[in-house]
Amino acid sequence: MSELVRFLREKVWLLGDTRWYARVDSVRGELVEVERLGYAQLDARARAVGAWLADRTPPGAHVLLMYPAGLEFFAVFLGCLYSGRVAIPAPLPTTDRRALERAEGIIRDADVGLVLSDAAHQPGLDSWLAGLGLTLRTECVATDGIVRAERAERAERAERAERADRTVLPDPGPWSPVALELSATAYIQYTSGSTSEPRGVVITHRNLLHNLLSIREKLLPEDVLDELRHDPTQSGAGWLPHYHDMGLVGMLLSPLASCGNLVFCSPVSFIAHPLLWLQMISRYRAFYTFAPNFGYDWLLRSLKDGQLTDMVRDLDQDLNLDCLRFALSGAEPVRADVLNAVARRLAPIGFRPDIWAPSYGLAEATLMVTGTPCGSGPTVGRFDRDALEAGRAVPAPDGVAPDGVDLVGCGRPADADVRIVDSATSSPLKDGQIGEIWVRGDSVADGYLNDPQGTADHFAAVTADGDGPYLRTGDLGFLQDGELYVTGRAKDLIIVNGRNIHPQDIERVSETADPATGPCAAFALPDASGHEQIVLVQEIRPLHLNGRTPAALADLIRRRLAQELRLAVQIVIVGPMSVPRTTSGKIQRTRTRDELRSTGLDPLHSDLRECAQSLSRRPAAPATAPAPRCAQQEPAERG
Amino acid sequence: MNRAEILAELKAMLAEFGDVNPEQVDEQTAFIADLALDSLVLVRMAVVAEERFGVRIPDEVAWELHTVGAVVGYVEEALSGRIGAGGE
Repeated sequence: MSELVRFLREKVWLLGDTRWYARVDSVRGELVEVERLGYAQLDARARAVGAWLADRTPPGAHVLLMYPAGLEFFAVFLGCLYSGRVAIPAPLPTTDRRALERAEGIIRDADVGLVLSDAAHQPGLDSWLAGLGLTLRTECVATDGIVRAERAERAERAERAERADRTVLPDPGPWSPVALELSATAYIQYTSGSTSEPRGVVITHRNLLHNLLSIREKLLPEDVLDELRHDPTQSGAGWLPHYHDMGLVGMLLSPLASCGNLVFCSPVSFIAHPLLWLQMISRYRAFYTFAPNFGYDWLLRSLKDGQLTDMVRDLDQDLNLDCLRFALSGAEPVRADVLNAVARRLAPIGFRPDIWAPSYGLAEATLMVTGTPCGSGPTVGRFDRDALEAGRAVPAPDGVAPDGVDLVGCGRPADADVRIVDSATSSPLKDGQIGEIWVRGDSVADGYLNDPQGTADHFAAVTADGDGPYLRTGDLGFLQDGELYVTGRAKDLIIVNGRNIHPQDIERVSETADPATGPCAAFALPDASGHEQIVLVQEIRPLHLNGRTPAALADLIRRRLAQELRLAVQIVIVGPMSVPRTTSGKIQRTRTRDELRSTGLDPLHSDLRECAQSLSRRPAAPATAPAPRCAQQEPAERG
Repeated sequence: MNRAEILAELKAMLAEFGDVNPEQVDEQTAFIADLALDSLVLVRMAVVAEERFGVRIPDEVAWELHTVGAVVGYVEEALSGRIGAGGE
């Protein structure tokens, strides 16, 4: 078996079922454990799946895993690793109607011959697959059915060994994981490329093993790891989706690598019942938890004033978070105000502000690039705003610093070479200078599947002084005292509530919404309270208006975007040729956003309540609760 | 539950989870286009609506329920269907 699989299975041999994975859910406000598997049970199931796959598919076959949150997914993922089949985790169409569209793109892009799911979703997926018109029929099999059937069959075989005329799935008993080089592909992690162009990061056994070891080494000091090895009660708690890098590597695989337990719930359970997160931590005495910024923010938004104490009283529960020794925030920009507000809000039930552990990572580097060790606490710096906008990090003067910006350090490199580079000239920059974050190391993938151009663009960067190859992350940041600060994105990607939204997807819907909609530009713009809102600046084709007002057109576009993408978008209607373009005619999103903020772009209609002036970066007044839509109250139409 | 009661409950949920003033809401109100509710609030509302109304709202159905009136209509139909089938 590969070194990675040996590393994981060592823990199974050493610890057997003394360590476990458990999934919980919320039933009438109460936490209920719905399933649990010990390490050895998980391994047995993974071997059964591995044996079945080895019998059924060619080595290296690409297998799409479309599962609900739960242990079956994890067992099947491990089964793929064991058998040298390449798992591709993908979401079910539960919260995003475009999931099937994306899955279809993946099937075509990765040449997927088999889709695995559970019995509840298999019929629907199989008929969807049948309707795709693929040249080679891809079928969907429910693995929970297989394992059950196999168990039944084994019993039957024992009874009636003479009946040898039927196909029998291999008994996993003698089957053992296949031998693989570290350079073999472990799985393919699709990142949220735009819907039309899925982008699969090819993660090798070496990448995954290296990142798991780096995460462990970075987050857990030796004495903490020793505790984990000897104390069977230590667990992590989370709710991340397993088809994202942080859910797969950080949530599911890391406990196995560090000898810990894991309690988790589905992302939907957490979103619908945010208190479930706190109940998990408290009930299982979790020593760590993890989430992107939006998760902590959602918890905060959902906790009404007084609700914590009410709930503790009503449910007669003793919610206590003093067991937490670190709370990781990663995969999204980490906001100082959110860290502070969550720590304040949860302080009465034992949350300590020094347990924050910010980190930075991305799927192209398996997961973690930088992190903050358990026990060391977050580093928050206050920097001068004007200097930051000019590309330099200069500490704001102490005391009165109205123009200071609090930035949270994302920790130090986790056995990775992190450079800050001027993205235009490829020159490495000094500490305190803002540039693109470049990464090199064994966790960095070789590239994107079937995409030599994308791979060359992102994975083969060389600095002006000839150092490389580096991964260009597309993120902007700076290094100071060894700590990485992430300040923004070089790409146009819009991130809202953990969804990565490509502006192209929004623009395509709008441009095809009506004959009167011309070219447009979508981007994120923080509102006065600092929350990102999505803005679309849409050019109009006046000849096609047919007597309708620009406001009516905005209304139509807003509804189309709500229906197609489930996004609330603020529409700004402008005249023909008002969206800035390059000389070759490509629309420029960043310039459009900057011009909207500085001049207001002279719109024919705008959903944005603020006039151009207050949209600029220093709002005159602090935000009050923004009205959801302003167009009706303030029609900004002109003749 | 009749139509008016379903509407009242839905308005109460919008106030509780979306901080929406119930007086701004009628059956024509669209969740995203008019109220700018984000995806997290919508997911939460869909799950809680299933619990409170005691009806199953499959995801494919939920995506197409863009307005308050559409949800009220769906819940009303589902409830009467279940009663009609001798459920409760």
